[in-house]
Amino acid sequence: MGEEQAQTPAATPPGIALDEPRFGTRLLRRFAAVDWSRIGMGTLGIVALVIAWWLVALIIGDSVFLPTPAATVGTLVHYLTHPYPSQGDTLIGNTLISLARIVVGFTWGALAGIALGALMAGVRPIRLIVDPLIELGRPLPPLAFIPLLIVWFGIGEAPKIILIGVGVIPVMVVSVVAALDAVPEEYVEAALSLGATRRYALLHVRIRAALPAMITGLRLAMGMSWTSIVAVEMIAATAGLGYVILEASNYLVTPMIFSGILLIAVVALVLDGLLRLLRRLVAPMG
Amino acid sequence: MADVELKRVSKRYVHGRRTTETLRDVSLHVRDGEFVSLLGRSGCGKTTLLRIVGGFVNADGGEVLVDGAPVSQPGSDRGMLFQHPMLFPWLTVLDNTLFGPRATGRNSPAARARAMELLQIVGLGGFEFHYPKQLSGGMMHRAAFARAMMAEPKILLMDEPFGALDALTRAGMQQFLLDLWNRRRFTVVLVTHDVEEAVLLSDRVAVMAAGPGQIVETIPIELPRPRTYEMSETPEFVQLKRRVRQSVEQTPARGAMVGMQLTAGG
Repeated sequence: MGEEQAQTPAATPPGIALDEPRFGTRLLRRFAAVDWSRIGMGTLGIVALVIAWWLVALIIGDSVFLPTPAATVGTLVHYLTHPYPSQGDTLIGNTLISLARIVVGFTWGALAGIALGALMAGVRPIRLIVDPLIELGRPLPPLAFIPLLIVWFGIGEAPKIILIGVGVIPVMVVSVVAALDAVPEEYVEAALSLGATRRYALLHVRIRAALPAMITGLRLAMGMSWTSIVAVEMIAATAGLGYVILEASNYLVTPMIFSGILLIAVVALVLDGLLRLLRRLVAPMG
Repeated sequence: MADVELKRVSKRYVHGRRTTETLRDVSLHVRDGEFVSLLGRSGCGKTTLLRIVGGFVNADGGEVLVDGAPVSQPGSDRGMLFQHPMLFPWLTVLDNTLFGPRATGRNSPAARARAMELLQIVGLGGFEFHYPKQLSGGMMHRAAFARAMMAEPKILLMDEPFGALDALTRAGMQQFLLDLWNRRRFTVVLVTHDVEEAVLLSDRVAVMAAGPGQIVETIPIELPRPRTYEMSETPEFVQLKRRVRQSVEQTPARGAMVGMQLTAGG
């Protein structure tokens, strides 16, 4: 009969059930499922961009206006282990400083945003009170708060970490509320009629079902974190990648500007990759 | 023992100043091991009635008794199947089936063995470690059956469970349900708007009308068991189907003017 056919036929004849694959095996299979042609095409795009950059740099012939990729990579590699500016930190050190600010700021902002979003999705009065505040604050660029934060907290670590959190919270609130709202009520009802308590159904069904969409929210919030940290490091900092880029700009060290941008891109890509990996683990089969 | 008694159940919904009387004084007795369908046009309150039995909605008046005990909330004594299978996409077919035992702290090697056996019975042997997305529509519904039966409910409540399937798959699922029910006569309350489905599966068909929702007639379906899908072509079946359809067609259509009744068809 037509409906008997699954899209993926069973590897074993009916009646012989395989043992459940071990967690490690499942993880490996998921990595093995990587789409190589997609990676190939993606690489092609990056290679094309580098070639175009190189050609334009050679035609212009002015390393202050546009250094070649080779000059940029040379600068990048050299300063990974040498301080820039000379009384400052290495590029690795500055990257770690920015990364630490992101991790701390993103973590507290995400936790606060998830908690607030979950409360709003679950408790109607809280939603009615908080929603206008979020909608009022959301269009404001976090950068608008930098002068205020400097007045309140100086130029130490506190304003930077607070600013990242301030940017992350609305993004997380909106996506957590949307993710929880999107879970069909019938999932919860099915769980209750299988004997689950309301508490169990909330944790293991409603929140569980919303996790993939929440992780997508985390990815958006991570992007927001980089916007905030680079901006605040350009205005009030003595270390970090944003500071390095601005210093390099002041002294027209263009290869260093590009190095800073490249490092941000690489670290942001790695962090996003981790979140995408997390989403894959949480949502098998996409 | 699983006997459902509805006594003068009423339900009203208030939208602003308007009040809709969804159900008025609905009484019905479903005996142990009986298969009863609630049949009616959309808007007649049949789904609301089922959800009241399920404990998802509270009645404003009257009582629902399951084995003499009043229903006030959902529970594993009443299994629920929806129009969509509602399998949890993050769990394999086996883990979906084991959701009930895990939620109630009764997971054990014995429960696992029983889940495997149930999946075998519903024809999903070999698909235990597939995810719902890897299954066809009919297979997902059969997995949902296995999951519901794992909780050993006294009654199975079904809300148009095959309504979203294509005609061929739906026929297959009806036959599947007949076979399953022949093995173990559990008590079933099925909501449907499909006359043929109601006649094929049920011992009795309760015909419902809207405005306010009520049971207008309960028609016994005295066809021999075990039944098969092929029976739907016999004269007895066709006659019963006509009888039930006429009863439904006499109920006012939703949005029809007061006093107007359908007389055509047949």
